[in-house]
Amino acid sequence: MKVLVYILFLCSVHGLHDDEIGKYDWKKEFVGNADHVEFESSVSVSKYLFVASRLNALACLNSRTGEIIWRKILGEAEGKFVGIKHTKEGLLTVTSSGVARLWETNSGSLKWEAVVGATPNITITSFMMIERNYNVGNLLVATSDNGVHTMAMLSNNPRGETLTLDVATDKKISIDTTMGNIIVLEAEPTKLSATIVDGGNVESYREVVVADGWGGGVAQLIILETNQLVYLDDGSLYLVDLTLGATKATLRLDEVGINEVEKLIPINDDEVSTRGGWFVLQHEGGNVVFMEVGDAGIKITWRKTFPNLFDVQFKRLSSETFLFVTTNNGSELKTIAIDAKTGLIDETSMIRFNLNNDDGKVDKIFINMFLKRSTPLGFRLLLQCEDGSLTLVVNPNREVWRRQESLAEVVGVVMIDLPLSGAGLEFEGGGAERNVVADMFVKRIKAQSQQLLSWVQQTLKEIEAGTLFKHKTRDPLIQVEGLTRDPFSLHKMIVVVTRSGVVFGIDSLTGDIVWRHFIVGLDRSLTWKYDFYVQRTTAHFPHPPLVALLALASNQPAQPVLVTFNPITGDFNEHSATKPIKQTMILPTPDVDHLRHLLFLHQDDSLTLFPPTHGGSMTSLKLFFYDVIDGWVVGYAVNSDITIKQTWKFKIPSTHHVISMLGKNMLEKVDSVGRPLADRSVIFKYLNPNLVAMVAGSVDDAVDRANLLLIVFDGVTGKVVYTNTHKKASGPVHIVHSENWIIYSYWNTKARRTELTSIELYEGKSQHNKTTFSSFHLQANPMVMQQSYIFPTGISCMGVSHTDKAITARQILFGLKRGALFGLPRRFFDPRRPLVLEESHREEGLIQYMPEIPIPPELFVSYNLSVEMINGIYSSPAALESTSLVFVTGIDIFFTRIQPSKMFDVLKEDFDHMFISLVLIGMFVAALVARRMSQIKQLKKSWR
Amino acid sequence: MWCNPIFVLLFECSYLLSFAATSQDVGSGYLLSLEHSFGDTFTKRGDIYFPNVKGENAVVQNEIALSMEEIKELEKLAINDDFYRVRVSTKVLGAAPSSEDSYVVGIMPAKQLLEANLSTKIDILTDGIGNIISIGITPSSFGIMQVEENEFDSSVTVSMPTTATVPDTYGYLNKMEMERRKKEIADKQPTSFFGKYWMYILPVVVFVMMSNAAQQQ
Repeated sequence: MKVLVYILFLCSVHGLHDDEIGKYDWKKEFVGNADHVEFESSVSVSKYLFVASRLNALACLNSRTGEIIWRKILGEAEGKFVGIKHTKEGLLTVTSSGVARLWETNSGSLKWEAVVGATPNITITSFMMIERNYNVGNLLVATSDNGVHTMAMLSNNPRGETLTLDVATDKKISIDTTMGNIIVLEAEPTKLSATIVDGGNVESYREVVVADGWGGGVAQLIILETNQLVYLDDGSLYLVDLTLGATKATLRLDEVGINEVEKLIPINDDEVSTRGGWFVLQHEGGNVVFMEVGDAGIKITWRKTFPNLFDVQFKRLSSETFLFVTTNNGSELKTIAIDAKTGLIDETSMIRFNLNNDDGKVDKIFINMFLKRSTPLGFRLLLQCEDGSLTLVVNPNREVWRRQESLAEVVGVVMIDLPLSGAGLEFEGGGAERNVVADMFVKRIKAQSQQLLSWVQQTLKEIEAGTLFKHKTRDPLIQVEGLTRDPFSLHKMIVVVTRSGVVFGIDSLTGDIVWRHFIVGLDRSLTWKYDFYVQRTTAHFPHPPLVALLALASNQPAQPVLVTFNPITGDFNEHSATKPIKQTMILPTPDVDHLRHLLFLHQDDSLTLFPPTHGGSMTSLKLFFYDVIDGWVVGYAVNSDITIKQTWKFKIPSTHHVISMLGKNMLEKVDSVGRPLADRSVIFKYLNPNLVAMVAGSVDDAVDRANLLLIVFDGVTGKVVYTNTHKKASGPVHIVHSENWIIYSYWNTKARRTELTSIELYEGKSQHNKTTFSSFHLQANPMVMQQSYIFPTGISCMGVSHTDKAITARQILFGLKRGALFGLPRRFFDPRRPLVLEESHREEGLIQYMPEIPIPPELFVSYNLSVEMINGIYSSPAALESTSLVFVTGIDIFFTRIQPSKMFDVLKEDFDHMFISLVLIGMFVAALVARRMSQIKQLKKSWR
Repeated sequence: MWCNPIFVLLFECSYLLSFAATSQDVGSGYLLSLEHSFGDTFTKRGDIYFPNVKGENAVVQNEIALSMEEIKELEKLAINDDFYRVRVSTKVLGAAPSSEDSYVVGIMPAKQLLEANLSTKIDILTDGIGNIISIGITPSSFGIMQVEENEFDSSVTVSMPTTATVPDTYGYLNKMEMERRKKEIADKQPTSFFGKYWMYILPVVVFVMMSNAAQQQ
């Protein structure tokens, strides 16, 4: 009880006041790259737009503004969305694991969910819906690798049936609403057969062989209304009656001037009964032929040619059927609507859209057709581009909104200080040039007087405008406008790179995108790994800040892509491709221009510098690399002639594979090298900067035999400093490694819970070498203290706070699976936490050991916001020692600042300045009066 | 960073020294050949005797003294600020290693080896079932004394990954139980009449005292 009270007391200071919400934190929500898009099915312009993304998010967007109305995120175990469909009842979705759900359109609340196909471990590939009357409910038809599953969607009792089909054949499934039938076409290597299944009872079906001796795939055929089927074989179109299996008519395509058919396009995707007797044939050279099937066989109604043909889609609304043809000549996208029956082009409703090189190629086009009062037809385009953006375009060429959905998949973050204001820059510039002392002194005085002058001018201006005491930004601590540095350096530029290769500069104050750059030259079919290297910070005016971004293809030896840019302005420079790179390192020492060079280790074990010229400090450096190759950890040393040689190596046991690996931040600051104990002695920390923590998991993942192996080794000498094994444990593993401690989380397979182990390394009571550190001069392995804890909720990511001088206690940040950012002071993970608390422990500030880590709600850094699917926690110090800036990425991005040991260096916003000044003045006056009085008294005394 | 299948080992020498077997079953234990290198090739330095697979009480045996050429090579390494390397097979049991990929390698600056008068400490990490994970070598002392010495003086420590701690729920529950008991005992102990009702007695006493004082005045 006492402990509880103590902990509550300890933590209460971290909470957030109601009026502080949103002052310095912001959150942006995203959906991710859209896999499926569905407009609300209505005749007029609809408000809702539904998007299902590859990140398993389902969102309803306002189609006029692009804002998210509601969003739902499914777990990973659900598989991907195979489709979404808007019906009268709501939004119907099916995931590949076979869960069908119906969502309320306006609010996103779940109406019901049911499993399609009772057989386990099936993968659903597509679904359709047959509309039926209310009593029997609509019929959901889903296909899987196992067969066809149907489900009557009665809201209270979804009832399913399964028809198992041969897996080996090439299948195509269509539905016929009027007949209530499911038509399964199976293309075997030598024949094409159709199975017509009664939707109400899958046991009742009949099979017809449509074409014997035909070897084409199901992509080359189309089913039309009234059981007619058209298939393509050897330059001819055949019309077949499905019920009889007899060929009714034939059309030789070369006779009508059609060669090289590209595809056959049905009027409606899966629904047969509304297709009528029409279809479109697209053949080479952008030719589109509209065909009609009648009693007289197959005949051509109209044909048109479109150069640079990109996409052809049919849309049907009440009685109108239109064909939308999109052409794309690389610089302009043009979509026109053609009345299907007449072939007339409606010139008024054409959409032209200028393509920007900076968006990448257009991936997909989604068309929303609606009816207007004045003109018969209106339509909108939703473009999904290679950069992950979603853009809504309306007639004639207006971009209504654009969502940068690639920000849902941020893979790299760097936070950059903003440059000083104009006057400050001049001052800094004076310092950067190398002149004689007197000259520099004069310059400094000049610059500072200029600074003073501009400050006075600014203040006068503000007094004139009456804004002197007004808040300039919503953040009470940042009172400098624009992209200039504030005195506490709380305002930063957040540079992020996303999985699709787009770099964004984000203003940390508002979360607005300041600049955006699309990296050209990345093969986007590959997966890339991005790394930022800050070559020069903003502190070296007149040299501009410079950040390098290296993109490496993670699975193929493709050419790496290197770009450098100014993180404040977003000016990019592309660099020519180098040889494939195995490892990259930024040199610790800058050159004369304050630029830190990059060192590349190529696949052929050669080394190059970037930029190539360097001031010659290379030879004085001793550099070491390590690499993990096929279960071996191999160390390298760089020779003085910039070649490398292998030094040490050790073997990870073949029963294990590396799960996670983390070294220390090279530029990390450590405030104190020791820790005082209750007996007034000091225990020294083992502060080896070359230490690497590696966790390997057993290949055998059975519940009883799964285990984890932790290896802590020195990356220079290859010496294993500490190892341990966790029995009955498995990944995912998250590691935080800083100063002399390592905290990692893992899954306990037996107890089915997340656990954390904290390890601290100490040199002992004496310090080995006070001035310089060398891995080669360490003799004894460090003392290891460890303790394990139960973490009561799932962890998706772990991080640690960084402050300017590292004096402030660290805070361990957890991205929780439940969608929150949670921060705990590090002393909860102090391995010396005693089971029985004594006076000496209290003196050291230790808290009593409890196996379970508490999760008090006031320690949620994200307070009541949900920050979903957190996969990265990045922290950066501010100039204010107490404060650390935290940027969290996931499907949402969230920025805030934390004070792990309270804000001890800034007065609270509600601090009573008036009161303290009154008291001060009062005291001063009182002192004066008292002095005067005592003088008079003294005088009187003397006279007496 | 890892998972890089295409990788060329930097060792120039690919031939192997013809040892019949690096590890031999010697009675109840195993001999593991310890090799060292002053450049590219590895030569035998001695044996590490494992009394059992786990390697408890392992010792270094049969260490071969350095020849004059080898000492010269070592000194050359030291001048170039290069590394002296040692290696052992990854398997305590079984046949001789067939390739470079079957050795774990440890390094130390050659200068330190000379400074420590060839006195070294070897740390071997095994998985406890006959596989060697890593080898580390450090000088026994850091000094600048140099005596002409050509014989190794080595000690070896073999360790295994320790079992990590688990959340101490048992200890915590025990502690809670003990606290509960202590409280129960304290509750059971008879308390004096005054101890029980002091809160009623005290105001009465104070009141009486105050009224007394008032009366006296």
